[in-house]
Amino acid sequence: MLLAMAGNPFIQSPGGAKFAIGFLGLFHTSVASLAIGFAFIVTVLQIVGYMRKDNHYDRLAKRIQLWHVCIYNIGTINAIGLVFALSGLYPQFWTQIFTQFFWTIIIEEVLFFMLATTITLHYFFWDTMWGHKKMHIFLGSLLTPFFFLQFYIINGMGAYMLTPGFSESQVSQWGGTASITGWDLLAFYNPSFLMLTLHRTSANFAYGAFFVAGVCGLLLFLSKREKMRAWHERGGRISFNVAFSAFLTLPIVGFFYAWVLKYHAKTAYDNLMVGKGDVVAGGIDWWWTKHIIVAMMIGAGLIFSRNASRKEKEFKIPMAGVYAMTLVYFLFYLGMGMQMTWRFFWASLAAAVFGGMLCAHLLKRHEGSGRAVFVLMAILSFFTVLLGGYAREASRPRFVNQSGERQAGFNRIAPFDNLYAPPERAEAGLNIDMVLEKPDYVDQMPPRPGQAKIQPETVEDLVSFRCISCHTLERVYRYKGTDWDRVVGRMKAYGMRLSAEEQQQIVDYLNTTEFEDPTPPKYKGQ
Amino acid sequence: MTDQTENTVPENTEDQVPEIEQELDVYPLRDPSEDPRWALWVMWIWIGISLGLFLFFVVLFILGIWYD
Repeated sequence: MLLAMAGNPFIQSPGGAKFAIGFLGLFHTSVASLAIGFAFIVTVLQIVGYMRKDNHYDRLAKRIQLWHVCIYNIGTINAIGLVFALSGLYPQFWTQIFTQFFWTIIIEEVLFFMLATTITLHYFFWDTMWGHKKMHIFLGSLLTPFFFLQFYIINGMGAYMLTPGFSESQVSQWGGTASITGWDLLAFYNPSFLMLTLHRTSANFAYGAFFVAGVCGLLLFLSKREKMRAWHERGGRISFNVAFSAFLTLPIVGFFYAWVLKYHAKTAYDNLMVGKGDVVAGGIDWWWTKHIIVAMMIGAGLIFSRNASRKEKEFKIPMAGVYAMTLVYFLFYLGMGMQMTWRFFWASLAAAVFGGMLCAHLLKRHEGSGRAVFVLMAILSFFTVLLGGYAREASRPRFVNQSGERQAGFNRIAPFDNLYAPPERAEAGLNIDMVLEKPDYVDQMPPRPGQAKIQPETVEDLVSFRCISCHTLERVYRYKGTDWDRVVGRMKAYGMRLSAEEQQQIVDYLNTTEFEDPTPPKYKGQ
Repeated sequence: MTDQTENTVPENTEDQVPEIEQELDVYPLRDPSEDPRWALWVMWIWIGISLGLFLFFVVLFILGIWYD
């Protein structure tokens, strides 16, 4: 049977749960990432149009905002599908992530509402507000900080899943008893949070603007009227310049992102660099592939900018900056060649040269028009976003069975080995090479004034306090197995802070207590 | 449809100037009083709500660093 596997307690989906989530997630990434780029470039074009009193820019901005309204709908519906799929296929996902990020997700939801409404109002009031143009531009410009805030939240959670850092999973006394807080500072501001946010910001600006340039390129192919062609060429060039400027900042952020991963997600870093785990699928190393495409884009962008700097009078990217950042890219690839193999470096160099030559050819073939280059870069940019998202998710250490093997369809709840466990939590010998050392900033974090410390006084308290930092107590008293030592060991490997003595107390308590009444252990320490 | 009405349709549609092409030539700023008042009210209210919420969330995240 397609939808049932012998002995497997989970819902099965065609192609496997991992494929379903991967497909929906990547679809969402490719659509939702456009939204941030669109919001930014709409404001840039509106401001340029207003300053020059030139409607070419404003009309293009309006057209992009219409696409924005459409893709926002598609992205939202797709996101709901992703939430449904996660709930059914990975039932423990939300219950665990909510213990630390419930309030952040609620804020995220409010932000989604604000964004959807603001985009719609901005588009549909376009022609109504020509007497208050500055105000209309200001409304559109609010989208970028809103997207940043929304982005900030989702990256806190996304980065946490790769570098959990030193989250503490707190409990609070709200309501007079120990309860889950739904917020964890150290989980949110985790080691790779900042770099992921910066990297995705630049990448999304580049992707959105390359996409706009690509559509301008397509319209250039389709337009027969000279005036329309001039409009699309101009729109394509300004969008391309915005995109390529953002693209040029990526190696600097990317270097520090890789540096953070090296120290906080060593297994993921190795998977990327050496090509292990799901990073390699179908015999292809997709992270390499992504970087080969990026190298091709830098070659093509360099030649396009050089060509444009000789012809265009306005909106040029200073060539000194382009050459400098190309050199940074070169050094980045040199560094990766040293870490990985020199084959990667030479392949990237060849891809960059090929990209440059192809760009020169396309410009000549289309009599100086950038239309073919715009379309090419939009397609390449789309693939880098997809592959970048895939590589980040696929680089995480996989959950394996107890003998250390991956087992398709059976690996959704991790056993207690081969999981993230920083050295200071390693009493049970579960230390995996994810973290080299505790970062300095952890000790420098400000104290927590105002939060009363709840001290467990009984073993029941201990069970209550420790277990509800990640899930409800229902899961404890409804568990019918007897292997509590294995279960508690697994929880410790997930990151629960527990001394060996506390662990033993909890295991003994759970082994000797029968929860016939579906009432969880109560906090008795008050 | 009569022959007469058929003749009113231009034979070569490429000669028609698309509406959007005509719009490109002018940047149609107008007097603020010409904007409908209801639209202005909606914009003001929405900008107010947006800015208020944005500041609230930013303050929340900053305060969260100390009072977590």
